[in-house]
Amino acid sequence: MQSKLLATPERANILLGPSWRAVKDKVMGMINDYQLMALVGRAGSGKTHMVLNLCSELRREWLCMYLDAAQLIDKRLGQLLSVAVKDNEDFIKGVLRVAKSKRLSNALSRFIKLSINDLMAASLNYPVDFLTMLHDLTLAVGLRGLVIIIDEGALSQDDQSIGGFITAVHTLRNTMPRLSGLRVILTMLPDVVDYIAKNDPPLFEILNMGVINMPDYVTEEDLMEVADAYGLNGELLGLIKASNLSMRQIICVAELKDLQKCGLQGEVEVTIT
Amino acid sequence: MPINERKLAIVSGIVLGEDSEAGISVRLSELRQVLSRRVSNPDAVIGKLTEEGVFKMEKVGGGFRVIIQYTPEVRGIYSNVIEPTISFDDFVKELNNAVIKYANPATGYADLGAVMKHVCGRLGIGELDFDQLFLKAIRINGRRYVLSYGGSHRIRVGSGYYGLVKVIP
Repeated sequence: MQSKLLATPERANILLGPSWRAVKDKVMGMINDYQLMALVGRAGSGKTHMVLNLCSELRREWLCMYLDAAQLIDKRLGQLLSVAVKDNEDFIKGVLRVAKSKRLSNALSRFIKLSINDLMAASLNYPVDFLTMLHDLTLAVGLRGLVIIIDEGALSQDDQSIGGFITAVHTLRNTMPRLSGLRVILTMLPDVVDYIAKNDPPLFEILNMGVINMPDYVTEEDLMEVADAYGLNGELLGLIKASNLSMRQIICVAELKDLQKCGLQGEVEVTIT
Repeated sequence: MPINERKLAIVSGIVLGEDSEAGISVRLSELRQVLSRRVSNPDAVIGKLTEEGVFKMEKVGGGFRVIIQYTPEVRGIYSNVIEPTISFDDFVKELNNAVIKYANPATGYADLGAVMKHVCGRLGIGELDFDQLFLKAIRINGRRYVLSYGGSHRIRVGSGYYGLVKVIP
């Protein structure tokens, strides 16, 4: 039951609502010029769904590596990259296979002989060197470059490991000028952006330019599409229209038809604590 | 019983004086006389508040007038003593201004803690009043506000604790 509310690559094939498709178009338009992008939106606004959708689309021309950093306690760059290698094993193997038929420099021809385990060890211990090699390899095989998507880098402003994550992003920022084909897409909650704005202004100033805001709530136009897809009835629609619900809240109502379980009671339940 | 001399001076000033644009204006001799019933050295208290900028002296004819400035502290005491009625519309106006003022340039969300401090200071209301009025604003016009987790002051709405707020223009 709960898993119906979570994003999966299969489910992410569909983007419901014009607001969400507009965000996707915006990212696809920015991918040429912006190396560091952040999709910002509140919980349940469809960030993970969006990046999964984007990644599968980007894979036509790029090596796209999606990773969910929530599984890590330590979020240093090496840790993040080694998870990225593990989770995107098949796609990296595909690039290595294509590379075998290409003329490569000495360093790269040694690099493609490494196994996935070797690559994980390399990324863990020498993240920046590994990133440079993989980046050069994607360009050498004729791809447009390397896209790294880090989802759930920081869970909230109070996340214990937020410092390591920000350091990792800062390192990526500093590596960007040397690696022209590198693209980094992050997903962030608004409070994490606030945290970076207050604690790491140099990063914020660069990040700020590449911020794309997710739709904060489902507009009536989006709602019509959701209602069609899930067969929502008029009564529920009326309730939903009364307040700004996130996409996940609406999908929850649509799937479960139970306001209490979705945290919404009456119109919008309000309690003072 | 020991008394808070500073607060007594402000309360007496508010009760004796009259409201004006610049502050609450009260005759110095009158204030000093009232204070002297409970405070041994009223001039010291008045002098200290003047130094801090809460009181301002103004010469009128042969005597002086004290102008009590509308600092957040004074507003707070004022609202406790006289309880001015704040209209809900005033609150919503101040709230919207504050949210826009404190919004993060990248996301448009403002920290509810900063917004609350601003609104409470401007209207002279307490945190509890703010929470109540804020929830009323959401209940009446839920379509105008979007809430998110985080921030330095959290309010429970439905089943979530929210601390960031955005106003939809």
